Amino acid sequence: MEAQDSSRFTRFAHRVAIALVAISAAAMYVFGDRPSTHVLPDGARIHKRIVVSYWEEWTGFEGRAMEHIVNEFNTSQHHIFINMVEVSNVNIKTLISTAGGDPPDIVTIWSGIMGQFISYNALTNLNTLLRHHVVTPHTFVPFAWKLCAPYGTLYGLPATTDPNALYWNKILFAKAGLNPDKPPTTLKQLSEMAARLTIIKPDGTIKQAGFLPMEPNWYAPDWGIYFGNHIYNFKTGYFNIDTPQQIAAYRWMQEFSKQLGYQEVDSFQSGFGQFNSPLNPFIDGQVAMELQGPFLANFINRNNPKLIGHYGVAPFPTSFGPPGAATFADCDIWVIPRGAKHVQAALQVLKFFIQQKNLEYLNDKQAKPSPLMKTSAAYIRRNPNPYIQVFDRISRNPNVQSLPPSPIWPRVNGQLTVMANRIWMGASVIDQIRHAQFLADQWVQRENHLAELRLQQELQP
Amino acid sequence: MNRKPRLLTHILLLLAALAYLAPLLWMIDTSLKHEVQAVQIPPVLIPHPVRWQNYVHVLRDPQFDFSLFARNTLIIATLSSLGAMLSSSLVAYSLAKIRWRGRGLVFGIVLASMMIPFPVFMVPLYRIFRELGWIGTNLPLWVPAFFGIPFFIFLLRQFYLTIPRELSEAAVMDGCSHFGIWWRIMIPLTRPALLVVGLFSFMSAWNNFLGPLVYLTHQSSFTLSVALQVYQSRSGGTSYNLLMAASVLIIAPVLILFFLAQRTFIRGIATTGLK
Amino acid sequence: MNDRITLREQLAGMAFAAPYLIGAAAFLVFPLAMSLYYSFCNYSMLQPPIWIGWTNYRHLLTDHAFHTALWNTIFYAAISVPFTLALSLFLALLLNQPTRGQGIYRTIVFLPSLVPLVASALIWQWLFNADKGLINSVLRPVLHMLGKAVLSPLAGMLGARHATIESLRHISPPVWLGDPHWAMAAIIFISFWGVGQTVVIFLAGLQDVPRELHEAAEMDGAGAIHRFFNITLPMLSPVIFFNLIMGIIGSWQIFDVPYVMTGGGPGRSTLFYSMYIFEAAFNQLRMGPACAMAWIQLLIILFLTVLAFASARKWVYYA
Repeated sequence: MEAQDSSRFTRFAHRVAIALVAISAAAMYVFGDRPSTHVLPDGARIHKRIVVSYWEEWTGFEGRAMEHIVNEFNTSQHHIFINMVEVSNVNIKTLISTAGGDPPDIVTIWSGIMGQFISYNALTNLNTLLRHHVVTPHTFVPFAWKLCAPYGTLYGLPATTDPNALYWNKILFAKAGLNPDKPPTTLKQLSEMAARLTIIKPDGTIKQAGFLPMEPNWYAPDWGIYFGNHIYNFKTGYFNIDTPQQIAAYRWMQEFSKQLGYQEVDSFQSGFGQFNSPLNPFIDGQVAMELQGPFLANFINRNNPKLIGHYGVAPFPTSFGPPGAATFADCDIWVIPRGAKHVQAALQVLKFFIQQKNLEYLNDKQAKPSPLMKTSAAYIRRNPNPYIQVFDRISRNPNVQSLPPSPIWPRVNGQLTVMANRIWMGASVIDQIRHAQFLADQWVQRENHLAELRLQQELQP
Repeated sequence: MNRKPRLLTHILLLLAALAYLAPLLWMIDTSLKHEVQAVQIPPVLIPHPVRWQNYVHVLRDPQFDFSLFARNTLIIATLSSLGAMLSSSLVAYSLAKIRWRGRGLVFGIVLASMMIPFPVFMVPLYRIFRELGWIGTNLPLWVPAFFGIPFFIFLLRQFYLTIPRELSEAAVMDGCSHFGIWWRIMIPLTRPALLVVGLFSFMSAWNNFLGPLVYLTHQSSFTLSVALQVYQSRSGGTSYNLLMAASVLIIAPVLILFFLAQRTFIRGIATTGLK
Repeated sequence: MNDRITLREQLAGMAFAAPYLIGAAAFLVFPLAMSLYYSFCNYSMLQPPIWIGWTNYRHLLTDHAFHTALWNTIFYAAISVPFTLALSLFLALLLNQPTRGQGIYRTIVFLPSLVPLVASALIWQWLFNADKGLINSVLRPVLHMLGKAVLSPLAGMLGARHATIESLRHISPPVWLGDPHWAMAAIIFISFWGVGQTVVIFLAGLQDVPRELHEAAEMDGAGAIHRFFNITLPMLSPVIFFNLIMGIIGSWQIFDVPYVMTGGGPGRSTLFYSMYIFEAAFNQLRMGPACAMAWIQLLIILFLTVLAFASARKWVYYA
């Protein structure tokens, strides 16, 4: 009830402000940039095409490589239009949307969830490609084929491969008095060199680390491989977590944390920059050695060209043989989820994607080896990764290990990561490993039990 | 309280204000720095140079279409708000002003349902929306608002109870239907409470994270809160100065709304507590 | 005459309540029943549900991650609820004093509760960054100085071992989100930042305390503290009760901040109940266990609420 001028003005000002907000909201709606999804690269609109939705997690220049292929497809014919969308957390999103009945037509998923998707019958069967001889079991490198057709039926096609190898910084090696052209060939050597490559500042914080097993932390569950462990028993479906090799592996891994001090390492790590940036710990010289995939070479090319020629890549040492006696490779896989609306068109698109020139273009831009058995010499020559041959050899290595096609691998992987984390923080290696084994066994048993119950129900009238 | 507040009170208030404001100020501060300066130790208090380009970078990012997400969020929040106001006042009127059998039971259900945690509904609702074909659309996020939201029904009912019965009885004498009473008398009288409901349901829908996370499958339909989380978890990561800039962009509309509707906000929260 | 009105009233009442009646049936009762049913099934949503009886519940008894999530949530609720209540009350008392700039202070305290939780999570994640975050940048030199100048010599004087003295000289701040104990502390700390709404409710309640009561007590010679415990608190008890209930219900459902900020880590130390349900439902498509956990959550909240209501008789005074 205040009739004073000041409050009348306030009310007026309020009304004006509200009006302004409403008008700008309306303007944003009317004139706002709508995502130009159904437009060809040259701006022309598409007419009456089947629109295939394609979800992709790569960003930046990796994403643009795929864009190029998609654009080529879109401009080369008038039947189908690929609508490519960058999606984060694509694995979870695909699961949720497939369960919700609204999946994309094609999506690139991580090999680790193939088992889960297959067990839920969530993928469209691609055997028609086999029947029409578009692909054969020998089109792709063996490990990639095994990931796409773990039980015989084809459920996906390999997109890019990601073999792991040891990167080392030659400049830091030289500075520490080590021969820059001689990487460690045994794990013991690696530990010793790492110690020499570690520099601690007077106040106790880390300036440079020789080797950090938990950097990056997505390979944390895989250390047993280099000690001769095979994590999954394909025949029984059980996991080999509590083995002498695993215990040795994680004891070795824990040593690094103990030597440096977990608190100091965590503080050090939390200051690292983003993976694809000049502040990447390997790229900016804060970590001297790293287990990584081929894409790091790509990021070095783009973020710190000064490092080119001054770093090396070699197979990672093992505890039981020469480097390369045990290796690991991962793979991104193109799949068509169940319930996709345009399966036939999606198959056409996949046929285009896996043509040699397209697959090589994609992997070339990501500095990765091609998943095809047949690789042109030109591809090896042109590849921006100076060590492409090392990676290529690893991916064709008959004893390369990859992720288990187990339906519960994501859960086990999660538990192994927790286990690795806790071990890194100083917990008892044996206790953590036993605990993880216990849980994995429990889950496998329960999965089997539930599968039995499902089978019983289906057999009943 | 005629005594002048002591020095201690002033100091405590200053400390509290500092503690509560500092994170927001630091967010703005970081958002205006270059990536390298943002991670410098010791931390730089005043960014120099002031990098307004961070905001341009975030807004122009081809995969983070801020205006699209803002539009999506605005649509959902506005519809939720309208639905909440409309349905909650209808139901509250029924529970407060009409005598009918079962009224107490329904009110009891309203009260009880306020205590049921969302996860209990998460899976079945997902199934229901899937059968309806609503997964992938924004319908699950605002259509339920048109069926009444227990908390606001409760709030408005309390408000309606304070309106003297003589008013509605007089209208009945004049031959007014319930709808007429509701529309012509109750609504204008309860405008402040209605505004509170509208405002709060708008805010709640704007800030909602779990709902959009579950029901929105296509990136083009994302809301701001989900978009921000996506921005953070992109493969390759996002540097903190850009993340802070994106956060500022998302918080700004909420703060603007607050300053415009300050009194309604405060009154709204105050009335919810009193019972 | 009366009967006819009642029928008309009955229909009108139901008509007006129709939106809620339909909505409650569709979005409340039916899903509740479905959720209970699913909790006894094995269901992935990609295949039809299969009845398995109490299996899901039995499995939960030996599910370590479930125990962790349950314990984490209990711990969080048990600490966060009482402390945020106390803090809110304290702030409300402060903000109730007639100081200059009172409106500004109130606004500042209230603002953070409006911030979308996702944004809060990012802001605090940056603040708590162990190496470059603002909090540790301030703590580090302070702790170093404290350690070198005060604690270490003190330990020396008290005859502590050399190792202890040395370690005290190099005290460093916790790594927060990298440390399982401090990560939980960080999340509890963040809950203190968002007390704005509770504070405003308390403020309204404080203003409802009739001034005559305080003035009369003052004239009888009662001190501030005495007045607080014997007048303010009892008059506020309904408001405290309301905030307590809201706090219980809210804290048990915490999701946004830990999901975005820590993802449940490190080592599941910040895995909360709702997050685990979400993980089971949408990361693993195990709808059966997810629904079972949700129903257990419902029962827990119900139990705590009933406890609160029962205890309310003893300490809540209605004017």
